Amino acid sequence: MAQTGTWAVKVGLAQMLKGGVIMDVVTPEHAKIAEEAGACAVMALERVPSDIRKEGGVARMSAPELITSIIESVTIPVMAKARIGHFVEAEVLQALGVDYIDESEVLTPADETHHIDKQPFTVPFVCGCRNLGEALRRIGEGAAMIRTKGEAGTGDIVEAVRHMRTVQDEIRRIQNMSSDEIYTAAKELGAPLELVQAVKREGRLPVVNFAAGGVATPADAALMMRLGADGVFVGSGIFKSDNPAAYAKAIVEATTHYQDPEVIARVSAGLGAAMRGISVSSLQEKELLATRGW
Amino acid sequence: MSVGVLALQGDFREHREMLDRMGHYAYEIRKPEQLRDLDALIIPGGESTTIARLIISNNFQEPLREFCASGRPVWGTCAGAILLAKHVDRLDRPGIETMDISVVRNAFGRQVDSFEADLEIKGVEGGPFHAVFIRAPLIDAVHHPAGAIARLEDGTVVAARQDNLLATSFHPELDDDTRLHEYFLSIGRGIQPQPRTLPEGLSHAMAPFVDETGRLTAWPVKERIQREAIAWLAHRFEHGRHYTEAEVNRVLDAAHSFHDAALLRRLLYEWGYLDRERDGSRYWLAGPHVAEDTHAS
Repeated sequence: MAQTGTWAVKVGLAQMLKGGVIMDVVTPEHAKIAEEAGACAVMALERVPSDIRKEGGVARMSAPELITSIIESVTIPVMAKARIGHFVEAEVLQALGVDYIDESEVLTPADETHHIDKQPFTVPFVCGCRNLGEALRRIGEGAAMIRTKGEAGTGDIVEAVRHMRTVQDEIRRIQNMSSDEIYTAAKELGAPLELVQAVKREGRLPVVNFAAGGVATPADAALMMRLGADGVFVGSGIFKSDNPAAYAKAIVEATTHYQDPEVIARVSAGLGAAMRGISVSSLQEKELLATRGW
Repeated sequence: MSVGVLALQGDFREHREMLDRMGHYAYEIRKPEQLRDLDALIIPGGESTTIARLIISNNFQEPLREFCASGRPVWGTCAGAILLAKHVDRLDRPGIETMDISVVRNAFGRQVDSFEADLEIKGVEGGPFHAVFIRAPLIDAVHHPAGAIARLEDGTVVAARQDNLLATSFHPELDDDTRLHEYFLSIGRGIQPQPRTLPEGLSHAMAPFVDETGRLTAWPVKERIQREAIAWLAHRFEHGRHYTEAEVNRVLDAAHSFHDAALLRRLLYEWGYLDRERDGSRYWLAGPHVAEDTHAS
């Protein structure tokens, strides 16, 4: 009678992560620091995005033994990344027992036309988006959680803000349409009609939407929450800062108390330097990760 | 009833929206002092390690224990149930530790093992209850005076009750079925809530947003309560007196603590309580009839 892998339990786990911070970690020690600081989940990776950016080469799914060792080191959910369209990497991650798969533009795409068909999987997926159409296409393919792409590994919040504002703006636009205008809107968004109708009805995405790609400080995290994110992913921002444990804890507090500048001021004090970062406007078009995904 | 949902992390919004739909006042609680005026409290699902840490770092532990001891209903769903339990397997720091149950975290396995099932719940009429279990804990021991009120087919306990305390390892807030929320709130009937003495002229709905002196401590989300807050602030201004913008801000700064005088000033004007020169050089209290006209939409 008990059913596993249903839409309700896939979306449900993302609901439990809300108001929380998901941190990129590359070793079991990092994972323990993240858990100790109050992360609601960790993302197991071989290299954080800023290193992928620096070192170049093909970025792939992490080694199974790394993922397993991280799973064994913490009790919070563990996520891992698969390349866009690489459904075999996703099957491997599911077999390893990860709690969520991120089909991520941070890794080198395996398919330049198709994303993974996520419906048949028992494990839920999170996918990146820059706008509402992209978010709804991913949900149509079976993603149970969405995050804005931002520009991973830069420590520059500007793209995450752009993507979150774009999604929220498009949601408001859909809400204000009359129901006979939705058909053309769905066509223009390139998104499944019934999902566009759901957005009109609910006034929000049908799944949880986190912010990602450029969050480096407690104030960045609170900014994204204020713009309507349900929670935040922090990649390079924590373990590329001077004091990862303190940064991690401060970002967790700022995400809970995102409406309270006094708390954010208090937790932001005495942290040392944030990750140095790269301004997105200094990057070439071909260096951008957010443009991967279709 | 006014019901708080602990909003440190997790799916507090789903609980709040369900309570809203049922016609109760529901508040997101992020500071211990906000507990004071609640009739009941829900500790939502989320990550129990994360919430346990935030309970400690935000000085919630003792206030939550006192709340549980006050006899007002408290309900923990999933992570919340873990935090209420006196004995927990694999949680590295204390939660609230008030219910005589023992809980095993992530007992059913990892996310791929999360599931849905139908349950019979003692005290909940109207047929089986559809329950969603997400990386769920199970209740592996229930000690008197706690008692099991729901089990899976194999006998595993997934809900327990001890006087005013309720723990469920599943998530009724993720569905549309409000029966368990109704059951929870019925625990509170017969318990006389301690009415707090509010400054005269304020309704109960404003209680979570003001301190004893009548100072606004948080900005309500609902426009109806926002309007009451703005009307309340208007009392701070004297009839017939002219104020510069800086003076208006000073009055407002003394009357609230969340540093958004600009928002309050704008609404005082927009909703017809204050009038001003076009260039904003002078403000004054509009006549009461003006206020009525402007927001009678």
